[in-house]
Amino acid sequence: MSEFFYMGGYGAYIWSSMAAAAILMLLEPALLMLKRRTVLQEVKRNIRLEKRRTRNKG
Amino acid sequence: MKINWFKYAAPMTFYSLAGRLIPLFWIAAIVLTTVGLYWGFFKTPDTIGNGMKEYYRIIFVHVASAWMAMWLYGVMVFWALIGVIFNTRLSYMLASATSITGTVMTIIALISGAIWGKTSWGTWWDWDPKLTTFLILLFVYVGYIALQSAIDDTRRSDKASALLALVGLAIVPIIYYAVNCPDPNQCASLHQESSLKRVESNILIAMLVTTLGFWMYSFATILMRTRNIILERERKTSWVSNLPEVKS
Repeated sequence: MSEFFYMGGYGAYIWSSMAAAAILMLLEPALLMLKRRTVLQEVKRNIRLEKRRTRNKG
Repeated sequence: MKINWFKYAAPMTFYSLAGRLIPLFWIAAIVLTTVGLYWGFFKTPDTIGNGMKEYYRIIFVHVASAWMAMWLYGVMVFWALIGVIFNTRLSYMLASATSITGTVMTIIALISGAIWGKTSWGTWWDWDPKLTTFLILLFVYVGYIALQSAIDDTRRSDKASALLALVGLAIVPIIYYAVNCPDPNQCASLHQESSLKRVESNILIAMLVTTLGFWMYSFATILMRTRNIILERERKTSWVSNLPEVKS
C-alpha cells in the first residue's frame, strides 16, 4: 500500500496535483451552495419588507 | 414532435429544469471521475514508452482540466453570442456562469502543469508557447469576470463582456497550435505534443473517462451557478416569490 503512495518516488508530485484539483473542485460547489443560501435569504427578506410596506400604506 | 426551444429560454422554466438535472450531473461526475482515476492508477503501466515514470499519472487531471478549460471558453462564447443575437437573458446568465467554472479548470490545469513541468522538464514554469498562451487564457477569463462585475447595469455588462469573450476566442486555436506546431523549426517548445494516437490504450481510456467526469462536473456547477444568478436577477418577479424554497 505504501508503495502505491510512494509512486516510485514521484508520490509527492502526483498526490499534490490530485489534491490541488480535489480542493478546488470541492470548494467551488461548497461556495455555490453557500451563495444559494444567502441569495434565498435576501429574496425572503425583500418579500417581508415589501409586505410590510404595502400594509403600512393600506 | 416540434419542441419550442424558446420555452426553455425562460428563466422560470430553466430554473426548475436545472434543479432536476443537477443531482444527475453530480452522480455522473462522481462515478466517471472515480472510474477514470481508478483505471488510471490501477490498470496502467508504471512506466511508459519514452522513459516516463509514474509521474505521467498527473496527466489524468492535467489533460482533463486543460481540455475543459478550452472547451468551456468555447461554450461561454457560444452563449454570449446567442445572447447578442437573440437578446435572451438566460444565454447571458449561462455565459457568465460558465466563465467561473472555466477559470477553475484553467487554474487546475496550470497548477498540475507546473507540477508536471517540475518532474518532466525540471522546472515549474517556462515561457514556452503552450504555457504562455494558457496563462493568457487565464487572464482573458479573469478579464471577462472583472468586466462583468465592473459595470452595474446587467444588460450593458452582459453585452460588453460578450464582446470581450468573442475577441478573446482567438487564444484558443493559438493554444492548440502552440504545441501541435506545423513546422517544428519555428517553435521550440518544452510541452509534449498532444497526439492521442500514440497514447497507450489504458492510459487513453483513463484520460477520456476522467475528462468526461470533469465535463459532468462542469455541467453541475454551471447549472448551480445559473440558478443562483436567476434568483438574484429575477428576485422581484412573482414566480420567484412563489417558489417553495422561498415560501418556506
